[in-house]
Amino acid sequence: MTARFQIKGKTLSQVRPGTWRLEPLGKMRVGVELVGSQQMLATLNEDKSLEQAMNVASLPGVLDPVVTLPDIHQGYGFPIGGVAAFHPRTGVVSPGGVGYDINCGVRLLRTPMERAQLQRPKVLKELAAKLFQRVPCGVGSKRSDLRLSSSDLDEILSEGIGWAIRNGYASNEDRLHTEEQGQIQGANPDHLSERSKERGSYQLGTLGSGNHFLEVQYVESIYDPDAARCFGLTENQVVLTIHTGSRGLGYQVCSDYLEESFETAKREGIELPDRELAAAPLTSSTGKNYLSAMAGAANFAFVNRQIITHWVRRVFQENFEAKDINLIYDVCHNIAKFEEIQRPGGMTRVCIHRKGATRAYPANHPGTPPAYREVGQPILVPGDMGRCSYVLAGGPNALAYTWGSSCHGAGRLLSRSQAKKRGRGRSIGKELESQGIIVRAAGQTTLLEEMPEAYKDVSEVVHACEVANLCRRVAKLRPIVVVKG
Amino acid sequence: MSHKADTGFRLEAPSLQRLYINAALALTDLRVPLDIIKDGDKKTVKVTGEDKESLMVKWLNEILFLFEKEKFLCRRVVFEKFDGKQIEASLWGETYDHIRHGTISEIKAVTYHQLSLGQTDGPDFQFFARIFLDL
Repeated sequence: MTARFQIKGKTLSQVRPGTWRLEPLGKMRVGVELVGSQQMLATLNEDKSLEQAMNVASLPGVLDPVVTLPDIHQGYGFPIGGVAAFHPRTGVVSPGGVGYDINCGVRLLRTPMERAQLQRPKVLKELAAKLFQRVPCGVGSKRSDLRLSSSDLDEILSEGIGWAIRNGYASNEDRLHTEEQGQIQGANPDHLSERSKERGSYQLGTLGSGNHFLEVQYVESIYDPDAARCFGLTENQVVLTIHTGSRGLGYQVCSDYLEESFETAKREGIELPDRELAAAPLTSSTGKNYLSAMAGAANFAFVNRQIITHWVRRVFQENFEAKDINLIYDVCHNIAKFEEIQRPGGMTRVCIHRKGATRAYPANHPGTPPAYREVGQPILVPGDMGRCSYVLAGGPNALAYTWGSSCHGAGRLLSRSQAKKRGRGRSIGKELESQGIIVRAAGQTTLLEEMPEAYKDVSEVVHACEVANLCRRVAKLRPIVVVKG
Repeated sequence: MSHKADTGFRLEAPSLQRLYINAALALTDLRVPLDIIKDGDKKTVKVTGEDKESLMVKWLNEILFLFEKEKFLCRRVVFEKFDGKQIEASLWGETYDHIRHGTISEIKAVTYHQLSLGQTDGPDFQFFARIFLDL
């Protein structure tokens, strides 16, 4: 007998291990498939994320199914932890389906150092201070050591990591180990407003604030020795994670095209259940121009993470003479792009929106970098700053059922104001220090909002994706230094 | 108002014009209490919107942009022109000072998510707005 349960009076039926399906209801054109345990999905009773996924399932040209991952929570228009694919001729593209922080993403770097070299609190504190000093973070942070001409900015938008290589910020290996090789095709700087470029010109190479971070971590456990060897990971090795996106440039592109898509949707008679879901046909000039501007913002985000990498490498060279700080991988988790997906009837080119979701290609996929083709694409899943993060590898079911996608993080459990209330009178920095984690933050408010208990346990999220066979665990990382905006 | 990943606010005002002005001040107050902002500097702002919702979103995003670009905190607003689709405003305030104003968190954008602007039945405060921010 098929297992079933209800969320907000709607029946979800189990279709595969750890995957539940809501058949189309009302205005929905396709079904919604939710990855997660029954217990995890019960949290959907408390917010509007299921309604948001159903709204996405009602957009024109949407393909069956709309997918949600176990880190699902309420977003704007689209739920965070949501994936939707659209037909190239009949479908739409939605700026809200990518979000304000276009190509917010994560990159993981490996170092030749061992945890034992960083055990003394004095060494850790000095390292935290150096990173905090060299990587601008917090509201309104700027890089004073990087001056961009308008042609530089246009080249960054068009070429992404290619610009960084030419200007000494990246190696060719960095390019090969970045999703889409650090350049999403089709970017045209003419499709970005002057204001978005202005906001980008002074924010390149900055971390920002909120949930963005730079962490020094060590490899606590290895689950898949072959994949770990392939990714260059060993137990107790020191690694670095950078989580940030396209800064003000991306926020402005989203704002600009939300307005334009809303007008286009009105003209085209597209019914919008939520204005943040404003969408334009993929064949319309608004749709094409948005994808082109979004690709530019995504390329800017790749370069942003690359410039931060450059300065992090400097800090490690100067302080520890550690020269080989290699990029394992860089993934986007807020993006829309055309990908070839194997569907019944052959390969199909579809426009995939990943809003808080990570691409998860399996072994032998042409989109997986050659160095990792035997084991699958690395998937980077940061947790909260007190517990752990995971490195996963793409599994077989992602391409078959979730548009080649897996989870992107822990997902919030408490709202920011709930977290601040719970943290009143506490020093999160001291609490973390007592666990051996040194934190440097631009402000105390961010630390309260980002306290570990504000997040779901990332281990449960990862486990739920494994049950659905979207990925498999390769390694678990523990933080030792956290830099927050 | 609380939203899992973000935050928002609801306000009421005696006129539509006052609603837009108060929304700008509420947005500033979320980051720095208004009573510790001086009002010695002046900026001018011009915004147009397709309808009252888009005018609100664009107006507030302009306030955010002035902060991001020039670190300008707005303490007082005077509308030189307002017709429901266009705002021309003079803003008085000062430049953000980390020491005096404290650290603040980033607001990525003002959103259309569950945005609601309208009239109430109340005798004094006839206009209301509910606004969510992406943090």
